[in-house]
Parts: sequence; C-alpha cells; structure tokens
Amino acid sequence: MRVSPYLWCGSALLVALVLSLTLGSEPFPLEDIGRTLLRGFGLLESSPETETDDKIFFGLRLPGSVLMLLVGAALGGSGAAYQGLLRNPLADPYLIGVAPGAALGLVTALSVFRALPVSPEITTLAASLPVAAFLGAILTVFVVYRIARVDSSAPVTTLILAGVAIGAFATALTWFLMLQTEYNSNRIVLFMLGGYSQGGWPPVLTALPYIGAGLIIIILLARPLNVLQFGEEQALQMGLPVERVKLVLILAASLAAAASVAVAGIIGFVGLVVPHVIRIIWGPDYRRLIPLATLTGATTLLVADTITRAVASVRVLPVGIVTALMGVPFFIYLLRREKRSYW
Amino acid sequence: MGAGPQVVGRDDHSNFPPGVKTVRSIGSTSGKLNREGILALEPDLVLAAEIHSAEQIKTLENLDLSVFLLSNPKTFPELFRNVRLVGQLSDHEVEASRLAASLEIRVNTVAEKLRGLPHRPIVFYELDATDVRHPWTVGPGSFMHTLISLAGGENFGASMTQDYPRVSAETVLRRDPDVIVLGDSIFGVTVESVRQRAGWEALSAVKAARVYTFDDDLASRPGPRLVEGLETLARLLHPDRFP
Repeated sequence: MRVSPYLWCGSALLVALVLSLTLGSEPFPLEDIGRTLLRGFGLLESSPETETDDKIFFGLRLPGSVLMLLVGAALGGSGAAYQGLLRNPLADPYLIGVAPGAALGLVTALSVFRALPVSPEITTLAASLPVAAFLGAILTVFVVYRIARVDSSAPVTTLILAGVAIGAFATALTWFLMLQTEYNSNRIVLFMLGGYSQGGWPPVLTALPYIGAGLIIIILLARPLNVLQFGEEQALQMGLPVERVKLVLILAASLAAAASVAVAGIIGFVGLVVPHVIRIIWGPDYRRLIPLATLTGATTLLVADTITRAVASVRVLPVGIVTALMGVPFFIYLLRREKRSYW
Repeated sequence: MGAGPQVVGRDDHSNFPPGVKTVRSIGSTSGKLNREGILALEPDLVLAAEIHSAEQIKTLENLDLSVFLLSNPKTFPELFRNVRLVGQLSDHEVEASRLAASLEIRVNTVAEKLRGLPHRPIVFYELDATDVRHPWTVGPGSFMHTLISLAGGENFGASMTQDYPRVSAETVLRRDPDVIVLGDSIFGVTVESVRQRAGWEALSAVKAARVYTFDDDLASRPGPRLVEGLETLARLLHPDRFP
C-alpha cells in the first residue's frame, strides 16, 4: 500500500510542530502542553502557578511556532512557484528582488529614523520596520518586472537577469547605508541572517493575510504552472494566457515571500531546496508539488528553528545558518542518489 | 584629579565629562588605530585599556610611544589602585590620593546603608534586546554582577557560565525577576517598550513598575564613575535606604 505523500508530509509537519512546542531553551513536556491547551479552552482550572506557564505557552511558544510554520510554508510554496514560472532550478523566493529589497527597505527606514532630530519611540520603530521591509521588497519586484517587460511580455531570462542586477544594486546600497552608521547594525545583521521576529501574535496576524492569499493563489494556479513547463510558446498555443498567469504568479509568490521576510528576516535555502526535494521524491507535477512543498517548507523551518532555540543560550545561531547546514547536505545526498534526471 | 589640561587626545567613545569634547579625538579605536593622529599629538604617555587588542598595543609601542595599560578593575579596591596609579603617572599623586579616598568613603557609605538587608531582590540587567526573544544579560564574571551584589541585589544571571550570556525571553518570564534594569536605554529601549513586549506584561517587575532605565556608561567604563553607578543602582534597588 503506497502511503499518500500528503500523509507523509502532513505527519512530518505535525511531528515538527510538536517538537517545536516541546523543545527549546527550556523543555515544555507534552502532558503540560495538553493541560495548557485544556486550560486555554476553559476545560481545566487554572491557578497562579499555571498562569506563568500558560502565558509563556500562549504568548510566546505557540505564536513563535505558528510563525515559523507560516513562514516556512510561504517559502516552500513561493519557491516552488518561482522555480515553475521561471523554469529555472536555481530560482528561490528571493531571486527577483524580495530579499535585497526588504533589506534595503529596512536599512533605509533605520537611516531615516537616525537622521531625525528626535529619536522615535522604540515601539514605533519596531512596528514600522516590517512595513518598511515589506514595501522595499514589493517595490523592488515591481521595478524588476517593469524593467524586464518588453512590449507586453516579460521574458523569463530577462526577469532573472533584471532581478539579479537590481538585487545586486539594492544590496550595494544596503551595505553602503549600513556602513554609514554603527547604529542598529546589530539589528540589520540579525535581519539578514533570518529568524529574528518580535515574538507574540502580532507578526503572525500581520503576515497571515498575505501569506495565505499568496499560497492559495499559487495552489490554484498549479495546473497552469504545469502547462508553462512546456515552454511559453507551446503554452500560448495550448490556450494559456501566459503573461497574465506569470504576472499573477509573480505577485502571489512575491507577496508571500515579502511578508515572510518582513516578519522573520531573510531565511535562505528553504525556498530553494525544499521544492527540489519534493520533486526528486514525488515528481514534478505542480498540482502535487506546490502543496507538498508548502507543507515540507513549514516542517523544515520548524525543525531548524527548534534547533536554533535549543542552542540559543550557548551559541548565537540564526535560523538561516541552520537551514543551510541542514538543507544542503541532505539535498546533495538526494542528488547523488537519484540517477535519473528529475528536472 | 586635576590632570585634565594634560590630556591632549582621546578616542571617539571617551565622552565624559562633557568638557572633554574640546580635546582632539583620534577617531574610533575599534579596528585600525589612527597612527598619524596619535603621533601628531606628541603624547608623553598613552593610556590604554583592556579593550584594546595586543596588536594595537604593539602598534603603539612600535611608534616609540610610552604606553601604560590600565587593567579593568574587578573590584573597587582595584579601582582605587588605578586612580592612584594614574595620579602617579600624571604627577598628581596628592589629588589622586584624595580622590581615591573620597571614592572609597562613598563605597563604604553604600555598604553601611545596606547593612542587614532582609531581602535581596533578583535583578535582571538587560544589555541588549535587539532580538527580544533572546536578550543579553550579565553573568558572574562581569563587573555589573559585582555592582548588583554590592548594591544589595542578586544577579539574575548569577547561575550562568558565561560573562555575558544570552537568555531566552521564556527564561525571564519563568524566573520572574523582581527588578529589571535596562542597560540598553542608550539604544532607545524605554520602560514602556518593555511593557509592550509579547508576554512581558505578566512580569512582576513590570506590574510593580520596577523597570528602570540605567546609563550603562556608569558601569562599563572602568573609571571613577563606577562609584556613581553603584550609588545609582543601590538607590534604585533600595529606595527606602536612600531617601
């Protein structure tokens, strides 16, 4: 009996979620989680001792894990979408400018705040930074798309080239601004290494609509993505409104990726490696690939984040580093094992 | 100690007393030293601290400069010794001696006023909370740890192994310190912003309004102001003993 891939990925996600909630710098035993949840639903009595535990769980642990789940899903799904629409195995959610744009937005906002005669309240600062990052990301993608557009079409190769070029430009500007001021460079570096968030529910609630909308659109466009793989000419002849599909896909994937970066920093490798892993194991049909990549992206990030938090008191280990250390060897292993060409 | 006029140069971070701004600065001392700048000042003596690397000291010596390395005081007696040393070096021994003596009196006064404390509050000294879920605090090897103890408190990070460890926000919430001192106020952290952090509003220190801003310079610069740091901290922790 073949086990459905959805069952595999779904169970993996569940296990990862449980691990994420129970482990961390301080273990939170499974039974305690159960009791905490029951207390949350009012089915069990709470007392002063349990109050702290409950606050920690509902206020920090749970939203933290949910955020990683959401961001991982966004990265996995948008990574797969980009690889499909650009028809390039090296594509990841940041290729056409989301990451460099977000970093630039963040640094610009910080520089502006620094230049103001009166320093703004730190809470205003903290609230506005994700917005700045998001806007930076979206604006950059917009610029890339406009540059790549010739007449009414945006050739894929041009998109990639423009993305890389604008990305490099944005990165150069970012470094320049960063070096101008030592102020808050710590914050910027943390952002670029990924996994840094404000904690609590606000980031989750902020990112959810964009990530949710983006992923739903991508899933709905799975079939057109399959058709696109034949090549744009072919797809056009088969009746697909190619440019429109591309535009919508770029929009959806960028929204999800930009929201992720805005609330959790730049986390690499998940969007690149996860879709390939799914492809190697379960084939390139996007109707399956997208949902599975979404699920597995969430699983991967949850695991990476758990590791990060477990060692946090000993080592500063940003999530982005863990994803690279985890993802790359596994991916190479799969590549070598797979004799046939899977792309 | 009256040797102010003898100071011909400083680095960018030396910012106290305010009058020192008129003294020429040779820039930052993190990374490469401004050798030309230092040479141009023609100092008879360069005072270095432990924050400078061995390479930097070597660089200064290679320039044929007399360098004296003042080691960071780990205790107040060591601080007084440093003061007297600088007095000797700058030819102000008498004034330095007087200064050291007055500092010692102030430290002893604090100890006197804190005699017979019934309860030592647990103090969480926050160094950096850029990542609010993993703030940096002070451990047993740091001077702040000593300051907290002398000021009548118990350091939250006393059980950690590193001098400047990182803790998770969850740990802070769980151990619920009595007092929170914001050493990162110079970075813009305010009492209000602490209250708005996810989960922190439940802390006893927040609810009892025992979150204080603190000028970290008073504790991180190895000079006479450390005594002021002690007095400030003691007043925050035990206002009843310091009316």
